[in-house]
Amino acid sequence: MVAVKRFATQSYISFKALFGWLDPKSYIFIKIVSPVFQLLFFCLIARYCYNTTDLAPYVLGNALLLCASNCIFGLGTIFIIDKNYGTIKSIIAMPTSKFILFIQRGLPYAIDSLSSVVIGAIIGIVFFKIDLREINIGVLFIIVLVAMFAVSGFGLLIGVCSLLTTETNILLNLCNMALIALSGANFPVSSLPFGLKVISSCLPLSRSVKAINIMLDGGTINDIVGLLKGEVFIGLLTIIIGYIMLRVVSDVARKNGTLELC
Amino acid sequence: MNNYLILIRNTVLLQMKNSFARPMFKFCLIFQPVIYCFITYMMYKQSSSQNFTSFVVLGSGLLSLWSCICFSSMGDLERERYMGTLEIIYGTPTSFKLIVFGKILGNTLLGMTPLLISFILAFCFIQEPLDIKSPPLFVFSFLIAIIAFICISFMFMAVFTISRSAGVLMNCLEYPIFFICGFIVPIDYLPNILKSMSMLFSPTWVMQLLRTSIEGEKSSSYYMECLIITCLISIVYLLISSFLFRKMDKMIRISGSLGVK
Repeated sequence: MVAVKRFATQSYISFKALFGWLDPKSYIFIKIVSPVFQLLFFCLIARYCYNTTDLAPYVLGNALLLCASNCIFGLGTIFIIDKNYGTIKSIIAMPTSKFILFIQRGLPYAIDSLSSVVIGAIIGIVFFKIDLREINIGVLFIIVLVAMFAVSGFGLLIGVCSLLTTETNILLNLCNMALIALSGANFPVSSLPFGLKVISSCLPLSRSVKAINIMLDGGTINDIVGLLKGEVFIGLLTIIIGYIMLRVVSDVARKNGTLELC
Repeated sequence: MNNYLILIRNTVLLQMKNSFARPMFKFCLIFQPVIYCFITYMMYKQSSSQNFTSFVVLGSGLLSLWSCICFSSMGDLERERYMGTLEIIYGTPTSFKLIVFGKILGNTLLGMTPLLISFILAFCFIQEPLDIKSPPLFVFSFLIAIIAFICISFMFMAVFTISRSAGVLMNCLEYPIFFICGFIVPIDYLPNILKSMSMLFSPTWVMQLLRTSIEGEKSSSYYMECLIITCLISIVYLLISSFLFRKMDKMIRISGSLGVK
């Protein structure tokens, strides 16, 4: 129990310290206003392009993308902020399990991103007058949770990668835009060229977006189990790769003392 | 007069070098137009009849141009303050507004690169025909666009220098302007309240000018109407920014806190 409490406290403190949670205004603008406008922008393009009033797939797909922005820009910068503040040395040197540290830091961002998705979806539904009575909200919630898990793993992986480059901003923005372009939220993945289809299948969210579309078309949970399993697998894989990379990076840093130089 | 031109030229060059050194600006300048061009093209392919040049090329180029303005011009003075150089710039005998103008001009000119990238992508890779109904009118509209973007940058720069929430506002102004000003989707598709709001922003009218010159569907009187409104709004922006810069000057002289706000 004490360990769980310590885990939760550390998660909260890390989130509070690294996110720049200085005042509610900043939080509301960055976590709600800006993402909601992103959602409305892409949905308006979809409405204009496809000349349709059924915007449910685009609203829900783009709402999922909001958790991507949240996790990529939140989790992608956690280690880099430590590096800039000069606290990365203490983190690398501490005896605590790096895996616990890894998960501990990712958890609050994952939970927080859920709020962006829910708020974004609600505003999108109200703005575009979308009727979701046909869809099973419970299943939709499961899809969001799975997507959130997959993107959090991806965010943690990017967070570790950001330790290896000085061009962190470019890396984060490229990953975010890659998800917007290749997840299938704004146009079908099937219309992509072969190479990009392969990249899309390796990225998180493409399966979740597809699952949402299947549910909107009247599918059942049995139709999407495979997709959700695939999404969980991507999440686990990115967490494992990220963790291994963090171990390698910290080992190299211990040997060469170069962690803050790259 | 010559000295002023030299000053503006040097500030423009210095600003271009400084801006290009920043990763975020590099992203907006090089990668963003490519990705936006790709996204808009993929959506365009699924759509019914639309003008490719207006929708994909101009749309993606202007989206990136606005991002460049958002993440450079608007936050430049805040950045100078953070680096501790704002007091030095302010204290030089040269007009502060002239230096600010040079900075904005440098960013805006550099920010035109995404449009060029979009045109090159469309021409070389997508190989869709670039259909511009009136090329001379398009070039003229483009020049008006540069002036209008400089004026709106001036105003936002002044607002953000006075505000304590510059960083937050900078991040939040990107997407709203994208759709309120009709960079991709014409404002006719917006709800009435947003449509009314969009009339207050010069980029909305600039888009009308550029679209009219590309699509050639509207009359010349409509073009003139948009041109006059663009000019009038830009003048209002300049007046507002002049007032705000004067207010800033007064605040600085009273409190002596330029470096800390």
